[in-house]
Amino acid sequence: MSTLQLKSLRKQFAPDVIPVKDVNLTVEDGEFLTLLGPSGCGKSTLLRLIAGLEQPTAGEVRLGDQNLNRVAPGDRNMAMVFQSYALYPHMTVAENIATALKLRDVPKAEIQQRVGSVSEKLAITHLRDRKPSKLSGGQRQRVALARALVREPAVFLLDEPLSNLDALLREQVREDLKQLFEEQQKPVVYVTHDQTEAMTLSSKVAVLLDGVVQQLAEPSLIYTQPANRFVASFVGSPQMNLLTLKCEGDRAQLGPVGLPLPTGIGSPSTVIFGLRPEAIRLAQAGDSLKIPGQVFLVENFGREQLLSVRVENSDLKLRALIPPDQHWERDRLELTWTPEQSHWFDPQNEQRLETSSAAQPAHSSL
Amino acid sequence: MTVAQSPEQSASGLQINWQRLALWIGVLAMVLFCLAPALWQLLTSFKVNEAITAIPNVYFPSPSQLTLDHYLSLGWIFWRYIANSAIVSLLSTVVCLATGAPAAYALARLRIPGERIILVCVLIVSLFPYVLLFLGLLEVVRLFGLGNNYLALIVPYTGINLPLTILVLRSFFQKLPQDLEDSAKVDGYTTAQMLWQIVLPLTIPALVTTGILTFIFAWNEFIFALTFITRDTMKTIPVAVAQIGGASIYEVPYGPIAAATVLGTLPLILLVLCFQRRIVQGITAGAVKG
Ligand SMILES: Nc1ncnc2c1ncn2[C@@H]1O[C@H](COP(=O)(O)OP(=O)(O)OP(=O)(O)O)[C@@H](O)[C@H]1O
Ligand SMILES: [Mg+2]
Repeated sequence: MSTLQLKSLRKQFAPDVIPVKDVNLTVEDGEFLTLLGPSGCGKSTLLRLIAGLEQPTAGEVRLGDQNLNRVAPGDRNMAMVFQSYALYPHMTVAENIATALKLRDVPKAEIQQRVGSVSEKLAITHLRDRKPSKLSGGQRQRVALARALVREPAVFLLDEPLSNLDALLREQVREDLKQLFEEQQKPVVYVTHDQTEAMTLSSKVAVLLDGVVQQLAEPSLIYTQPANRFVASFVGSPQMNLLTLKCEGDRAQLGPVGLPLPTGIGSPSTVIFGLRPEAIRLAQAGDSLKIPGQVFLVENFGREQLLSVRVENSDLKLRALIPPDQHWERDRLELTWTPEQSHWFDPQNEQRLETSSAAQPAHSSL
Repeated sequence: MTVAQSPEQSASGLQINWQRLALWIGVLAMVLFCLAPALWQLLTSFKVNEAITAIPNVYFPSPSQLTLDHYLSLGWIFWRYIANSAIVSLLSTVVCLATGAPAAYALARLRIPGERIILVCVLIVSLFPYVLLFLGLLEVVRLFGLGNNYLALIVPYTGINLPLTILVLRSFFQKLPQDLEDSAKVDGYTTAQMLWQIVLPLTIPALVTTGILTFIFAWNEFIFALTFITRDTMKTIPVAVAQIGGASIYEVPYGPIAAATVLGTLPLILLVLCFQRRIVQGITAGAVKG
């Protein structure tokens, strides 16, 4: 039983380098928390603070009811997988896996048994006596995982463990990881800048920017109800369409068409309108909403086509994902979507504008 | 275009052979050019005196012109010289590495205020022509009464080689992935254990390289050894070789000098050959992504 808790955690390296500013997070047993954010947003620093490799400038790291601030990394009972794997090059695979247990004076027989079963689970038994330099990237990655798993720690920390693998292998390892950590039933903190990993693996995602948690929610909520403009643009591929529109009364002007503003957001003078490309489809005869436009770029993904459309009588652009078997005219087509799928953000603070129809606030502080 | 053009291929195969031949001829010439003086010395040490002084030169002595007399003439005292050199060089090397490595590690890993200034000082020290320090050092040696003491050589040899050792090791430590040390800390190594069991084994190639440089310097150093040590039984090899004299001042004992040179160089050659694989090998391979 252990709960990992971060309380008002802050790390300042220099007066203007503050990669972690006031982070509050809780990770329970069996929860898989992913820290998602662009490069340099402080993900690794946050993870290193949890591991004890950096001392926080302010705030606390707690495990259960123990404050870990004064506890050395080795005594925290956490296992960490590094982005570079950091295998000890002068030790064989088996020694690499066993070393943490040896340091903790685990009996020899038990070490043997635990190393054996972990190696088997990760299918690296045949590599036991090799040095890391004689392994492929994927094999090294599995050894690094084995080294963490064998310790049966209270918390798992993983820093972009898949970023060095090729796309195919990454997909495969992702599935393995999911199963492995579901079995463990321990808090897992996973760092990545890959949103697919974040979406598929985690039970909770924290989107980070400039050391601040932008949104903390389940993956599906992050996708369907982004808390602010940054989360909306960062999560989802291809990127969400984000347009700043002028408003007149209860309508936002998108080219020639006035989009009805949802109830509950008042009547602002401008608004940021967000719409995922996959929410857009070609308009048919019966649709009431029709946005006319011209296609100026087509990107073919095989499964679908990404059309870049210039809205008629404006310089606004929309990108739409359309199935390849549908027909459209390059010079003029009409797009439509269901109004519930659109997102609205405040142009000043860029926060999500809560429409009264939305059942639940998106950035509840879990 | 993609059709294989066999005639051209075989022609290029031939060309490669020519290139290799040229390469080997070049290598051979180079080696001969570099080693010729050493070879000449080696030959001289085995030739009888008549063959050494004969004109025209005897390049390939006949069996009757060969002898071991020069080696035997060196006597048992020569072992003593070798032992002196070994003690002085070994101790200088050990002290140099034992003090230089921690200093280099601290300079590489800790964010010390004024780190740049320290580095510049280290660099400046290494720029001094060490021979110029010699008079000052003589005073120091006198002051501490260190004449005819191994310490009079060990301390300066260590000091002279420390800057280079620190600079080389520091850049090595900087290349050593920080993740390895962090990983060790998370695994539960204490700092001392981490340095001893993780960092040190990975540092061996760099230690060997810088250590050998120090050792060679100490083994071959002449001026300090000549002035600070006057007692015969404490002399090091370079001094001893230089002081081998003939029966009269008109006679230069080429044979014994050559023999002493060969004997005095052998330990160095053995040492370098022994550690050569360590120097070349990059032991950190495999620590991080390939
Ligand atoms: N030891 C340090 N001293 C000074 N600044 C640091 C230190 N470590 C990290 N930083 C700074 O903190 C910021 C966040 O770094 P961090 O490594 O946490 O980013 P990240 O989110 O992990 O990025 P990436 O996805 O590229 O790994 C960066 O601007 C970096 O320059
Ligand atoms: Mg990082």
